[in-house]
Amino acid sequence: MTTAPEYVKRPGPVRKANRAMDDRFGTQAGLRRNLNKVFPDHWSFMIGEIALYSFVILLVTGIYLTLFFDPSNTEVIYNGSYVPLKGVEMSRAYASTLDISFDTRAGLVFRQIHHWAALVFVGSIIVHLARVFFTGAYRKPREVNWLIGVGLLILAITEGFAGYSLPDDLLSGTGLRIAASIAQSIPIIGTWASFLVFNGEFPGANFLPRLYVIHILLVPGILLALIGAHLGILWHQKHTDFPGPGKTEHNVVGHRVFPVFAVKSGGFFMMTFAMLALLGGLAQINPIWMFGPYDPSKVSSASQPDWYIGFLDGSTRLMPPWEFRGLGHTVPAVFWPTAVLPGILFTLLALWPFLEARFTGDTKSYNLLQRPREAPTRTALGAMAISFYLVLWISGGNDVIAKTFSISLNAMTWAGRIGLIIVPPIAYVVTKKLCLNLQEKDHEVAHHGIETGIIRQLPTGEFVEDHRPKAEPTPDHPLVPTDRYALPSANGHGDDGHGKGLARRAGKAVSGFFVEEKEGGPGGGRH
Amino acid sequence: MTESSGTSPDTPPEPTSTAVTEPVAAADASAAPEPAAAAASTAVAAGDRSPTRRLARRRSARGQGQSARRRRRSSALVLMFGLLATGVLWTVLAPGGNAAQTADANEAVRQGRALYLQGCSSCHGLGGGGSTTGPSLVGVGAAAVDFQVSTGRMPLAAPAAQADRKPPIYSRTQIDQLSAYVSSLGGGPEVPKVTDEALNDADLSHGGELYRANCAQCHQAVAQGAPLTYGKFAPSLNESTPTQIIEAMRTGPESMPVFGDRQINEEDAIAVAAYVRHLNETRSPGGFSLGKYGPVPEGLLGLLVGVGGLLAVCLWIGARQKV
Amino acid sequence: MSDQTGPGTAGPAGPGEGDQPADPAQRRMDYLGYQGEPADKADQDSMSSIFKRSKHPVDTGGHPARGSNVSAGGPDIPAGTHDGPEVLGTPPHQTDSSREPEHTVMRPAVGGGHGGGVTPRPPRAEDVDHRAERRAERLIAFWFLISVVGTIGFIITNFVGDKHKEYYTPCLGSALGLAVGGLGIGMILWAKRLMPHEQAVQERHEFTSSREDIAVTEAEITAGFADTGLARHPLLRRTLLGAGTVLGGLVVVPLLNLTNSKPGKKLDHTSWVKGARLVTEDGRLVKLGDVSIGGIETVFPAIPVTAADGSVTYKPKTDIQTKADSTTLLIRLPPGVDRPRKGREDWSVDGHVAYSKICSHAGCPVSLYEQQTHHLLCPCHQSVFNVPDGCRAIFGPASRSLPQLAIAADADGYLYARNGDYDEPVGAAFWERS
Repeated sequence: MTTAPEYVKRPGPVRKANRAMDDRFGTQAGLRRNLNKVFPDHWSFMIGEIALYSFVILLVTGIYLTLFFDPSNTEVIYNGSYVPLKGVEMSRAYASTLDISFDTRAGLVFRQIHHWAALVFVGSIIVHLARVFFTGAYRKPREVNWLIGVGLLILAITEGFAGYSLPDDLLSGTGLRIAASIAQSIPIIGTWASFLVFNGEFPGANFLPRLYVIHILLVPGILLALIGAHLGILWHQKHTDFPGPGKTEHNVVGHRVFPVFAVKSGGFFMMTFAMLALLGGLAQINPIWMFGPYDPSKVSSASQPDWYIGFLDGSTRLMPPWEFRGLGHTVPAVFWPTAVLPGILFTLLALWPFLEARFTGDTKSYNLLQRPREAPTRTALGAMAISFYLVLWISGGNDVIAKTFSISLNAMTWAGRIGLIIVPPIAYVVTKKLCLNLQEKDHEVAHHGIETGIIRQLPTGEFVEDHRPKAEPTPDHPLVPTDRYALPSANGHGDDGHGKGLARRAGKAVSGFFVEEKEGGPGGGRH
Repeated sequence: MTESSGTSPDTPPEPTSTAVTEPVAAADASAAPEPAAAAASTAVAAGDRSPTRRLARRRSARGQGQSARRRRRSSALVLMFGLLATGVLWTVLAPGGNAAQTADANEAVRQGRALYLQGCSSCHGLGGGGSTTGPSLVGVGAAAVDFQVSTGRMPLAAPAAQADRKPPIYSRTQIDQLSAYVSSLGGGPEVPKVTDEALNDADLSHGGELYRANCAQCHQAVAQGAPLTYGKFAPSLNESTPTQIIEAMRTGPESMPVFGDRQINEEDAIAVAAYVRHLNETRSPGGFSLGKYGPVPEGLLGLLVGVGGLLAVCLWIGARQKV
Repeated sequence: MSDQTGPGTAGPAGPGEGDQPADPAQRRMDYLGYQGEPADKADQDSMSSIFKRSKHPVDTGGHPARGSNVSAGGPDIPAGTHDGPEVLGTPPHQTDSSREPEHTVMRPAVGGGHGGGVTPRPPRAEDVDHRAERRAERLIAFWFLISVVGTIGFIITNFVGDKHKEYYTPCLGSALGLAVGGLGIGMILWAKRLMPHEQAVQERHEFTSSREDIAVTEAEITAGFADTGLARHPLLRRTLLGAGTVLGGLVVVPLLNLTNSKPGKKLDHTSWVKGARLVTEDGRLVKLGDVSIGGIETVFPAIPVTAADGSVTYKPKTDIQTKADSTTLLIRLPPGVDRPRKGREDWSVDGHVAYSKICSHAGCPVSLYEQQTHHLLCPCHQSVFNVPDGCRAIFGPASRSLPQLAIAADADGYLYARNGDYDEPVGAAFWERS
């Protein structure tokens, strides 16, 4: 760390602004702390950012669409520029979506960017969830962030469903019909639930304005709040990191927010936006003019929901027709795969950190991640869950697969039913074995070194292979303290028992700064 | 009656081969010019010692001057009489078609029957009445035959859950002949007359509404096709001509229901065909259409290219070595 | 444990020799954080269970992590035992088997660093070579300029382009992609090539507050709570709790206000009434013979309206609300195919049968009719119904047959609903359905 810098007596405009804010809000310490915050730079830590940036793009393009969309069930006769629908009766919602697509400048491209962003949003949330799961980042003290994340996933899926149902086209309207039937299938309260949500018997009176409010106000509001909390917790607790040279449970090594991390993140936001813009312009999505307006007496084959609901479509298709009837009541078959199954899955998902802590008896806090192979049971369970999900997801598109590959539709259904039972256990066993074998291999290398291929004969006659020890990992960039400049009166602190490496020394030099800042607090000050 | 050669059915059979016995019997071999010319050439080629040569020598020795001319005139007359007799007898005695049909139509039916016997009768029976391997064609109509054969579905290449569209093996003329023959067996829907102007004048949005009400559930909203049960499927309509579409509606091939003209009249049928033509020809305004198959390919692209591509960007950003 | 000396041999030392064990092999193991071999190689348990290993966690320094209980089970810290080299083969003749005790046949690591320093790598070109630095700058500038091109392209296409042409949206999307992508690539290259490549180290702090902190805070809260007097006034406490709970339940009321339309018996009825004629979406009343054998048609009710003078007109009901439950499929089966259920022999006429089009599984229109097998397939979840057998569900998730509408033909040949409504609720099942 270099010596303390001078106070600049003749400030330029930027410094003036800085001091103006500081006079009013006392910003310097906070600014420094946050600009110097260190973020580790493994590539897999950026997956959550894909979700964050997709969300921002959803907000921006969504606002543009709200300026043109009319969420009304009122029937009108279409008279826009799309000839094959001229004179057809349809709702205002559908007509305004056609207007956005054909008669608004940049309407179609923003509509498509919006829809592609929704697909990428949920996809990146799930990939991020998988990364967090398989590296054990959800362990204490980050369980609350995990819960928030699962909540974000559920809300994102709901938001997507609401969004693509707004145009009131044949494809999404069919999905709404199925949703009403699912609500209706809930025992005891089902018919009430369906009537309350849809305002009467399906299709209900004026359902679209309600869906609109849910989609543009309620759920985005909750999403914003939860994302804020998710990031705030992450900021406060600092990001986890993989073990490596110079890294311990008590430090974080990486780039400071300003300037490197900020520029990389900003660039990544631009790249996300670019990918979505290219998709939105070059790949057509949800061409509602081809489906026609929603009509409960019509349907198209190959009707699927968007991909993130596909696993529920699959579970519905695979479920055998087991309906319980008796004593004047019915529990319909569709209740189990569409209401009970996702309830169980998401509950297990949410409770997972606590379940794992209970079963392992491990209540320690962790800031370092594990490689998946280091936790074979967790990784195997995760692989099992993923395979279960994949069988369901593929079954959701089983008619498309049947048509494309000329497979019998009935055979696809049976394959899904049987696959759902036998594939997950196989995935568990295979993954577990794989993890254990990888551990053994790592152990071999650590213990015996890397095989060189050079065979020698010992004087006693045996042939042995020479091994070379694996080179120790060391950091390939110099490790520097977080703060470039020290405050003049930083206190020294004795060794806190964490060793004498360069990382430790650098870290300790910094800790004095923090302690000094919180002098007044009880207990010596904590960050 | 007489058998025609099956090798080149497209060319009209030569008169000489069908009228094989009569004119030769009727006319004097020596007087008929053609056989005589043939005989003369063979005589020249064969050499002096052949019997024909001797005959020719005797003839030439005998026939100089007036008697030769007289003989030539009479042989021409005999030939013409023979040909006329053949033609009359043929017309009277040949197997009939519809008496109201013109001679061309009769010809088509005849040719169609020949084609049918060769290529279809093994499954559909010698008289079109069906067999254990193929249904009866009595009453299916020209439209059904035109549809099945022009889409290549018939003749069936191999037994399967369903016949696939494949390149047709019969030419347009042959298909017309087959249709004429089968139609002659018992009537049925005629081949629809679909003109380009009718298609261009059709009400596209009405056709769209009819399509979505009657066709989209099997053939998919954008006519890309979909599976039915147990390996059957409703095919994509990308390659279907408007005529074929209307024929399919009228005849209900395989699993497809029948949409008769009291249910969908001719004008509406043309509107539906025009709408399908529009679906096949229209360009996608939003970019590449991903097979027009809906959320499944969209989801795959979004995950593989969208999320996958961005993961690749993550790898690039996080890479340690200089890039 | 061998104490062989010689070129290239080294035996791992035991743990606890200090923070930086001098031995490279040991340091290597410490860094990788491995638990070492199980005491018994055959004892897979200790390696196999994360539960056991986690009970005895080890930090990356290779030492038992704070709070771990060495005696809690799980593998021991490595004592440095190992198998030694795997013998690949022995020639047939062995003189005396003074086989050497296990030793590690190791060659020295190449460039192995000692003491936790930085791996010496060749410096980044941009850091030492000014030309390389300026080349990188130009490359980044190039990408920023591409971005400008993209922005201008977007603006031009947006205003000048014809939005009804097929190039419009792709051009807009590509231009926007270039605009932001150019910036993005430039920024990332800038961070990777021109910004310093050092790694900053920041201390983490335990979150758990000190015991004094906790004691003081808890005492404050307890004192504050005592000040409320809730502990001393049970009536106050209980009525407060009661009022609060009940008020919380009030949240349900606005939700229950969401509809004026109570379920009641609504799901049991459709718009079909006795005498309603079958009408198509276009308004054509369906007569016998309209639908060919092997054909299907979607029909709706045309409600009979008696005028003042006694004449009856039929008003088609094809609004969306009616369509949602009254849509009916009229199928004309070939003669002799239909096998009506008991009591339903007169529900069909001349091969014409009518069934609800609303799937009994989840409400999609069941409409894929296979003319030859007489099966009806629903496209949503692939339920299959057998039409001649009263549309019984024979495959897929549907468990109920489709409800049948009894039809007959009147004197003029028009088809009409002879018994009125369906005899059971149509569509997906629900709790109150018996």
